[in-house]
Amino acid sequence: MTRTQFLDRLDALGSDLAAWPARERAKALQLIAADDHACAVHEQARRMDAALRASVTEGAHDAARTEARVVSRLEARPLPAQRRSIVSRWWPDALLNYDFAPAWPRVAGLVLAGCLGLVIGLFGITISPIDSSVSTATAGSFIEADLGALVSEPEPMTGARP
Amino acid sequence: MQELSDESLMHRIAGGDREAFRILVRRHSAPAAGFARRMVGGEADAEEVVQEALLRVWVNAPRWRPLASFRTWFYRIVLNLCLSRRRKPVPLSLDAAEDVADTALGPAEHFEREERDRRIAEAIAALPERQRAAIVLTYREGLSNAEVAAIVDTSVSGVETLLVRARRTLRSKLGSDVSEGNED
Repeated sequence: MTRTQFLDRLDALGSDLAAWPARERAKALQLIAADDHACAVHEQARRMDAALRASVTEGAHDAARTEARVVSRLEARPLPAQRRSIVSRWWPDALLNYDFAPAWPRVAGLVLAGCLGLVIGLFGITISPIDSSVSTATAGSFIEADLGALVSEPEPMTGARP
Repeated sequence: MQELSDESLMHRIAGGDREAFRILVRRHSAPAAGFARRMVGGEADAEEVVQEALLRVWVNAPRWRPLASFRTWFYRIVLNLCLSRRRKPVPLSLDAAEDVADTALGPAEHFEREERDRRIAEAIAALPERQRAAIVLTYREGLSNAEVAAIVDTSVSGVETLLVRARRTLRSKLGSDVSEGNED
């Protein structure tokens, strides 16, 4: 770890080396042991962290006063009605608590594919005549045909389609 | 019921348990108000934000799912309410610093410390909102970068960038006041 890298990581992770990832901590400790400037910078960062922490922390008395004010305001009027989703009344909690969030695009894709398959299975894919010069009988067979008939070759002997 | 975790209390609150809600309010109102005060500047505004956030917790409790910790979720609500107020940061009151004043300090040291805390509070208040949120959550709440990322709604590397910029700004503004003085 170079001195510049150490300074960057010090600003990103703070001066408490115990909170650093083990690998980076080991490299940082090596640098601090070998480099006086790095050691001094770490000490300055440690002092700044301590001062910031002390500055942003309230006393217990102030916290108690704040808590009392918030509680009294909340208790001064009745709580509003809670929002309950219709689904949560019927579905078991275990199912609702399952985390679909990371996979929702895939789940949505699967549901869409399933619906599309159901529609095609029920109604088929009808193809309108492509060429007006095709005979009426052929056109009729095109209209009746589905996608499977178009992509499959007819039997050479009988002419039947699979 | 006092010893129940936040998540267990939320489960009870989802069933309409007002006593569980009261415990949750007592547990989180003061720390959240401290955070909000540093985000919006004023004490009254901060308490309003926390009150509104707690009411949202109550209203939405039946829909809450324990996918993340309650604290992360709650602070995210508080932060969003603070950001939606779009207030200019103002210098912070030093009442809190007076409360924690070390009685072992003499008048001169006490005054020095108050002055230093005032400068730090002003420097933090002048930071951009997201940098300020990252700094306050890190130092005041003692949260890890991953927890801060969940609240600020960014990645861990995004939080590291916010902290790097914030710490460099604070260092340049505060200079040797905090890095070379006596550690309290």
